[in-house]
Amino acid sequence: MLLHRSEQKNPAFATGSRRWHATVTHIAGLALLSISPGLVISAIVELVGGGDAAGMLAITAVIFAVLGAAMWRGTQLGDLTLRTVFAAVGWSWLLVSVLGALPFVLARTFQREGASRWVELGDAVFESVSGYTCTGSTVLTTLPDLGGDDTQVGRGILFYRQLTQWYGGMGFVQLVITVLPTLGSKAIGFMGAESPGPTADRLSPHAADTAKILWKLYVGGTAAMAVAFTAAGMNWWDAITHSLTTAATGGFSTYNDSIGEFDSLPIEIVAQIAMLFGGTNWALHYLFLTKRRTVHKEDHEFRAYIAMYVAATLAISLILSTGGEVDNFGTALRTASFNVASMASSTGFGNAQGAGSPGDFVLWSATPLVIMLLLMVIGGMSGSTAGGTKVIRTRVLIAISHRTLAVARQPRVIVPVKLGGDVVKERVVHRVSFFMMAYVALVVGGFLLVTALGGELEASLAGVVGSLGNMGPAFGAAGPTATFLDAFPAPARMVLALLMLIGRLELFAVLLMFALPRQVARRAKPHKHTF
Amino acid sequence: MNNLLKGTAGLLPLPFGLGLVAGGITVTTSSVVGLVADDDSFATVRLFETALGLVSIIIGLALCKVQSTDLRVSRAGAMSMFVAGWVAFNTVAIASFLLSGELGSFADVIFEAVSASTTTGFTTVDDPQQLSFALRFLRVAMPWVTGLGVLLVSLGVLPAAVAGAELLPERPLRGRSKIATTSMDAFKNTLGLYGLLTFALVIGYAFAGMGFFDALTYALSTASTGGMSNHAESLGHFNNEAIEWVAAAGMAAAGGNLLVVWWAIKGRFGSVFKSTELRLYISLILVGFIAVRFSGSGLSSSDSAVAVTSMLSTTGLRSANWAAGSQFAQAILLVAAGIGAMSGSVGSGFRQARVARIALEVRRSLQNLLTPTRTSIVRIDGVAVEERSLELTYGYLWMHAFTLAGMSVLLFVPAFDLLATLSFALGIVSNVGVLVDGDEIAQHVELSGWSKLVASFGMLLGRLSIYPVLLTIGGFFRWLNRLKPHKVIGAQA
Repeated sequence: MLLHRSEQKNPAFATGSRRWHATVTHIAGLALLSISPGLVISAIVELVGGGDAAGMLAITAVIFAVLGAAMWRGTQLGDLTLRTVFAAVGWSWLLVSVLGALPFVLARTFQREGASRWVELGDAVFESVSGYTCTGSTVLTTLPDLGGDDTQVGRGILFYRQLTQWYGGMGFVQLVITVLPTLGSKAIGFMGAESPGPTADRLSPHAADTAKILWKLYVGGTAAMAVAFTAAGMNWWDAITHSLTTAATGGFSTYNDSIGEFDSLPIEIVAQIAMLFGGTNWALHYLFLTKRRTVHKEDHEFRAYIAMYVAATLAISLILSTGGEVDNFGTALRTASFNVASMASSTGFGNAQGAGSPGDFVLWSATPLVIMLLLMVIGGMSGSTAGGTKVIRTRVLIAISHRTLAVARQPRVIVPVKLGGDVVKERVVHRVSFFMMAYVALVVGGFLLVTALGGELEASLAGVVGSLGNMGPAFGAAGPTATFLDAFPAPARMVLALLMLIGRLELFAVLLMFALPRQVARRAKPHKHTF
Repeated sequence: MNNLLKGTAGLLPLPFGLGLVAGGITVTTSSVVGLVADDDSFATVRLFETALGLVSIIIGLALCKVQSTDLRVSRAGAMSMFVAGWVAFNTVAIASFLLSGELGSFADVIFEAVSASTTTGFTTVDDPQQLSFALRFLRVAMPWVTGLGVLLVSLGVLPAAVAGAELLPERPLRGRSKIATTSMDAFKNTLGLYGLLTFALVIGYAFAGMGFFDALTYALSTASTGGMSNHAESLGHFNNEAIEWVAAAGMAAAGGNLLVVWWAIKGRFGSVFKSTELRLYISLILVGFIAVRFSGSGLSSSDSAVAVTSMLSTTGLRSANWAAGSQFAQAILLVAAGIGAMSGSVGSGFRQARVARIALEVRRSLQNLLTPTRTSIVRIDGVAVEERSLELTYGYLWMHAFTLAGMSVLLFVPAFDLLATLSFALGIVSNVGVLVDGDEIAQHVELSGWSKLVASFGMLLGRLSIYPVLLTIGGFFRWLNRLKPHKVIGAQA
């Protein structure tokens, strides 16, 4: 093989560069390839639904397949260090999220009066990133329930939009692992890089088998949710599209009023249970089905997760009903439990029937909103499809605080950080602390940047926290009955999209994906010789 | 009795007595001010207050004589001593506020006293001009006295507080020259510097156009970062740029580390410029000023300077309505209030030293992530920071965050929107004393008794850096437990 001149001069760079490129390109190619069947299905749905974007979806499917195949077949897995693995996952996500905007761009989904092509392109990228990262924030204002002549979104495009979240929920790199036998023990590294939470659960000695189990469970869970939604009163189309985004805890809906469109208590109950199910560690579901029926009860993180849900629901219900913000306790409980489940699982569905209805939580008083903001920060369980910083990290932080207090009292005392009676390794404690410190820095930096770009204070704060936690709706002008279009200027929306990606990949992958090329470039620089 | 005063409990009479003496002196001074300045209708009350002050001094001096048999001071004990002193000081102040009868309910009195003594500056008084001179003076004298106490603890001057101070971020100064070698000299130097700053501010304000009483009270308020004002519009009442510049300079100085000022006076400019924390503090003031001034906020240069220094030093004085400005300017001010002042200063907040440590820790973790085999240490001002100390810093960060979150939920002010609630909670925990829109709490809503009590506890937590209060509460329960009759094993035999 012919080497580039710089590679011939510097062998270290030559191998490092080739290996880095090879691994990243290989994995990203497979990720692109894995999306193309979804695009084909979306094209068929569009065709059956009588929409005019079937061709665009088919073209995109071909582009994804050809480009993905070329990248995959043209390379081989090279260096599989921790850094390369994280970089491969990061670049795959960036590539898929950005190229995923192609169907929206080709179908002119975000075309609107007064918006330039660049803004339209930006909106398409925002929607795609929001979809794949399972955030659920939207800039789409032409959903079918609006009626009128401007309902220009076909069923295929809507289906693809829902499907982006379903792919992102369990993670398409994890999907790739299931077909890559050559990864061996390194597969767990890829899973760890993509999986939410401090560590990835291993359900089988082989990581690829673990990925397969989780994906099978994910498909099964989605199907079960679709059946449950149908039983609760949805038609099949709504049931399938909503189950895709519920399992993924994404929150995209095919209606502007989200679940509130149905105004049905049974549907809201099913959605709540499904959202909480999605926000729970999927490994627990697997163990429940295969080994132990009491596994959920035994898990300390699950107990904390449910306790958080119950406490927040009761507190908000009481405040809403006693403060006169809703008519009675029943309505308050219905409204609060749904929205708390939506935030605690980072799904982002709403049950408001239009602006000003009880479910429109931006109109709630400050204390319930503070609770909602805290839920947005904490999010769901590790190993789930949910976002946020995860319940387990909050528990580790509480344990660290407790230890700090003990050390403050007795300087020489050695206090391990314990969770559920088990000692947490110091390496994990340190990593959690680093993650949370970086999270705080990102929230502060993002908040300043978004307000500097023209965002309103309340919406910016909730928008940044929500984007990093992949929540969906924010507060202020970006509430559950509104879109991000009016709340944030176009540049601010791009910052939020970047934060969604950082939040979904939990920081490390994004850091390493930018650090690695810099490192390779530094190695490529000619060095001064001292003699 | 011996059992009651065993351990830390035996050490508490001394700080409690000192607190009573300090409170007594403050109350007596303010009542004397009242006797001179207020009209005759207040004379009886002032005499009662003078009597209260003198009795407190006598009881305090008597308690100082109580000697503990066990003179070993544990870290937790040192913190409890600090809390005991603070409680005693407030007891006298609360009694004085109650005697005056000028404030509303008991919750109002607690809120006002705690707000003043924690150098926060929140008030429920709509128009301070309606208060007597004595009370206005007491509201600014209290933070000045407790500010001195904070300085003595944070600079490690009070021997009993040295153990406790190890947990405060001032400890990176270990190994560097201290303010003096003996405790008495250190006390004199600290008092001298603090007094000098206050005196300079009195002169500055007077020259800028304030009357003597206003100059004195605003100087006390500025030097202590207390932020209590004599006017509902705070500095905005004067509408005078010179006064605003004096206030901005004073607040910036008050939020700076006194030890760094000492080095500058001693000509040790090498140490001054080497201070990472000082560089960070100055950078943040400059960046904040530029951002607020030129972000379309509509604030003048002096207003912008007052806004930034007021938030960073956690003073809370204000000269304009910041809400009229840009959203970005308000975001900057909100973040500034969260960061707070330098360690070794009267200011509060999370502190610049901790921010510097956390930033360096994040950088190190990032480097370790890129190069897992790498081993590195965090250095501040060229001095390696112990790993244990770093752990305590980020442990404190999470305690601070949980306190802020808890306050935001528990304050429960239905009339507030989300931002006002967060701003109020941040103002409480960071002891800023002003909302992010530049308004006082009294201009917004009537707080409930619950909100006032929760806010008072929050201000106390923020001012004393959380640990001492929690450890004292824990120690109190352990002490109560010790008083319970225990079963003796084998008693029947």
